[in-house]
Amino acid sequence: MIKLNNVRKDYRSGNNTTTIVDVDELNISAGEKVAIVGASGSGKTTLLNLLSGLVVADSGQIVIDGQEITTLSESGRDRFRANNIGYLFQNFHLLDGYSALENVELGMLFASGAVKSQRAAEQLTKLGLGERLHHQPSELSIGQQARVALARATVNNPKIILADEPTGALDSASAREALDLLFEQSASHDSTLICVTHDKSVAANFDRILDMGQLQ
Amino acid sequence: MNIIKIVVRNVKRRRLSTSLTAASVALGVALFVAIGVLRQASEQGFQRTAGICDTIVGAKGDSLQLSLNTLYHMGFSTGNISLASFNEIRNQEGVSWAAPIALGDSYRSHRIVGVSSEFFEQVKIAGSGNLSFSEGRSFDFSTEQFVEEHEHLFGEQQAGHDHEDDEHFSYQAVIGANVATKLLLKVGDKIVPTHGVEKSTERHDDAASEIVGILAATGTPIDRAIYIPIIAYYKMEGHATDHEAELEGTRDARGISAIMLSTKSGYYRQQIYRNINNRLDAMAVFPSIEMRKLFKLIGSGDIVLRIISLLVVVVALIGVLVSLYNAMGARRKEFAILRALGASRRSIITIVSLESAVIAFMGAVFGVLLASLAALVLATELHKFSGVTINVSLAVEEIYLIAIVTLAGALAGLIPALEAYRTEAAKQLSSNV
Repeated sequence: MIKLNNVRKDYRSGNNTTTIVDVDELNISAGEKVAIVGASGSGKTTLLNLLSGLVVADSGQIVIDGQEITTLSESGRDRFRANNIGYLFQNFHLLDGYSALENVELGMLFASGAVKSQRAAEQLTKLGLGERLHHQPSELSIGQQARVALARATVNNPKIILADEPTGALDSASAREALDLLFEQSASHDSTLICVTHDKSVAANFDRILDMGQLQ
Repeated sequence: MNIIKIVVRNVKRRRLSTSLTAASVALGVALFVAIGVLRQASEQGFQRTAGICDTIVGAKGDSLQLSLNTLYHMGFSTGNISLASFNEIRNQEGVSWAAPIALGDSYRSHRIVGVSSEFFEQVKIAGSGNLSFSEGRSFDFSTEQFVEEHEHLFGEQQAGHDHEDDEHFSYQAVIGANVATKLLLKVGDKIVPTHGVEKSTERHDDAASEIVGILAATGTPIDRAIYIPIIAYYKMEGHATDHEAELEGTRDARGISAIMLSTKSGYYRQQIYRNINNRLDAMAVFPSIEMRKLFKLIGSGDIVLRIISLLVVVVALIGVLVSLYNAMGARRKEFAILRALGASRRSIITIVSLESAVIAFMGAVFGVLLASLAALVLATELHKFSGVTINVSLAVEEIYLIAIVTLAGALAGLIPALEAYRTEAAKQLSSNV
């Protein structure tokens, strides 16, 4: 499903070049739940960004579901991301001024096919937010915001869910609940789940744990 | 959810800045449109009045002054022409009708015009035909009677006879529609003319005239005028006194102020025009050409005003640009989130440019509406001042203007849009803000 070969990403600052990601080989199967752990600055988030196409590798190949995204143009990567990837952030990154329903609809806006409000509403209802469809993010609790973000990431039936510290902003009870929902959703959509976390107890719930320090 | 909804939502979210920038665009557009609409409508209104007769004859002098004084009752007379000249001119081959005009008095700021009854019979207003009466009737005093009485009056006066016993007319008046409504006058009321066309306390008590008719509204300066039998002008105390009558040429108070003349065909029109202008004591002008010249003259000032208003629009669009540009810093995260959701950089450019276009569009539409309102107010004032009714209506040009301003707004939005385009989504998303 996901294959990385000799993928390298450097960051340049003046004359200094720092290698952030340097992965010789990595294979992730379809439907697999993978946790990526590692020290701060080890390149966990950059790896997610490389997989989503938001960042371009300086060298190497990234092939997802038979599509080599490293050879795609920027607009090709954008389309690929819109159609195949659901992104979940630590701070949820819900847009202010948009209701919960609209935030979820945004997850469908740039993908192929029409934006279906009904599907967005169903997704929120499944996550227990049927009564909060038209609430603004600021009117929701942190746990509810996490569920809206999850609904947005999964509304488009993504092949891959990329989650960057999805429980980092939650207390332990909410984190547990969010994680359960994340597993449930990735399973119901047959999505491959790749999750960056610094929390070993969270990582322990995944099929596989990849340590960035050992990966490079 | 679609791009347009995102754009509208963003514009709504910044209500204050949107309102202020749209208002500044509206101001520029309103100025531009109002100047154009009013100029065009005024020219049409003045040309409509100019169509009352094809030629005006008066004493030699300024042709525009003669037209404005005779038809629009503005300014002062160029002088008088003699009755003999009037007779020669009206009897030329090709003259359809010729109406003598005497000007110089007023009643409560409304000009009093001495005419013969042919004036009411012959004058035609473009689009509405002959003059009609909303109440009452015309006075009965023909051009022939005028010529006869004029000769009789001044012949006897010169011979030292008292003319007052020989009057063949009554002091009567026909008033324009505006005069009736503004001064609350009706048939049967009497008006006492005052000497001169500016504020004067010198009343012609001897010439109190009974209103016998009220003209239906014409949308021309006729609505603001008071018409009396032309011979009354010469019979009022102080007019055509022996002393003034001794003056000759254009100062001869026994003369008439102007002649409204209509010819039978274009051929005669040119011929009569040439014949009159070859004379030493009179000139002929085509009022429609004079109005064109006047508006051409005004037009140069008009262009300057329109350039200034366009500059206001440009400055306002720069304001839109600056307002959006300043907001870019705070919106980088929003763009980064959209990019993570699959939005292309082109989508981000489209969103920001459309926001700018929407603000410009709102400003342009509001500006056009504001201009229509301003033009209506100004048209009312122009009507009060000149009697000329102008039809203020929006043309297809205003639709083009809205489209052009909207497009210019979209182009102005490209600068902040390019700033948004450069947003590094990954960098923005990884910050914990």
